[in-house]
Amino acid sequence: MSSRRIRNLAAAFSLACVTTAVTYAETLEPEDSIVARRAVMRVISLNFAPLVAMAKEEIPFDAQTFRTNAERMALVSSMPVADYFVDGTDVDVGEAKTEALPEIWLDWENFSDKLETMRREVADLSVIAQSGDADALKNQVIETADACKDCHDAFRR
Amino acid sequence: MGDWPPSTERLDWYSVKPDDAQGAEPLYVWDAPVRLFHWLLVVLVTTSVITGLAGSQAFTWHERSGIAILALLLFRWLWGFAGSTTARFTHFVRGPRAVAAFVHALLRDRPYPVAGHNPLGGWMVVALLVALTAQAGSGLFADDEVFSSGPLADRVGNATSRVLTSFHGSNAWVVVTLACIHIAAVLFHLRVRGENLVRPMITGRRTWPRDRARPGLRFAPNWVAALVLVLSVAAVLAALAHFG
Repeated sequence: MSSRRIRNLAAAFSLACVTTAVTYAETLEPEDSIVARRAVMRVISLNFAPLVAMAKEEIPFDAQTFRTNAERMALVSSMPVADYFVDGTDVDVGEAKTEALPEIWLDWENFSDKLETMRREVADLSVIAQSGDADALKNQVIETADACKDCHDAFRR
Repeated sequence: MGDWPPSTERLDWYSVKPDDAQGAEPLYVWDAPVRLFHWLLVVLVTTSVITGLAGSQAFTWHERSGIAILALLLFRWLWGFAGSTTARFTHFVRGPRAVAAFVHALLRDRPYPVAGHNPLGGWMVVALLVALTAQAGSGLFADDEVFSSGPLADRVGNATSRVLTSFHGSNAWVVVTLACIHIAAVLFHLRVRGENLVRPMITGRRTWPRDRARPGLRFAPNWVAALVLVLSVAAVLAALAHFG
């Protein structure tokens, strides 16, 4: 089992724990909400990194990995991520560290739009992944990356 | 080649009397390497700004452009010590008295002919070189944690990379601001003082008042410049191949 796969599993496990908590709680505690959103982004990042490497032709294109990872990204990004940005979590809470800027809450509509854009791009990525069209996928990886970056530039420290 | 190595003797610019408009003749001030450096830098910095703003799609070209700028800057730093008279830092990096005298002449609307960078422009050259070197250097270690990462980003720790990434983002605007001030100053010289600084940067020649002593400028042979440039490019590529 590769170390990447172990890391993938570990992140998925912590996410599973968090999402279980979500099922039972209406709103998360501030500290938990930071852990939750970071876990979501971590899992998306872990799955996205190999696709970026393929788009940049740093590793060989592999249609199967593309499908699997894009599907995972689509699933995870469909979670109610906005709910994990609980009021007052623009600063570290307890053990949970955050890089979220207060602008998220000051400009919530814009933040939600960017979150929605990311979801749409990731959903497109998983649809295109079914086709296995390498060129179309490279383009969609770039679109998805720009959606991630656009939000980070605006709302991350 | 009796003009090699070039002399670094300073001209007593600010004791020169104002131009009485008794005619002027051409004076060769910028060697080909400096002119080529300047215009290549214009093209590459423009490319870097555009590709930097364009997102992931343009990252490959942003990276290439940055590496080319790094090699070009290394050449210019070396040329500032080993090049022709007007390319040398010892020639154009002037003290506060020279800068004050130059500003005084500007305020009095008096001519102040200089063979090379004027005392204020010299500091702008230094500022641009420092800012651009910091920009290209930090880009090597930058990483947006999504798609784009500099060729040496993996060589430093996460915390270091975060700091350099943030610096790369804000210093870009320092570079753009300096470039705008630089262009504004050139336009000021053209429109307000009637001095065309662009033509000499293309032809190498400026006009020099006949009634003034011609400065003893020395010019390095172009093959030396070509050698320094080849070495600069090789050094940058070798460093990237070794550490990247």
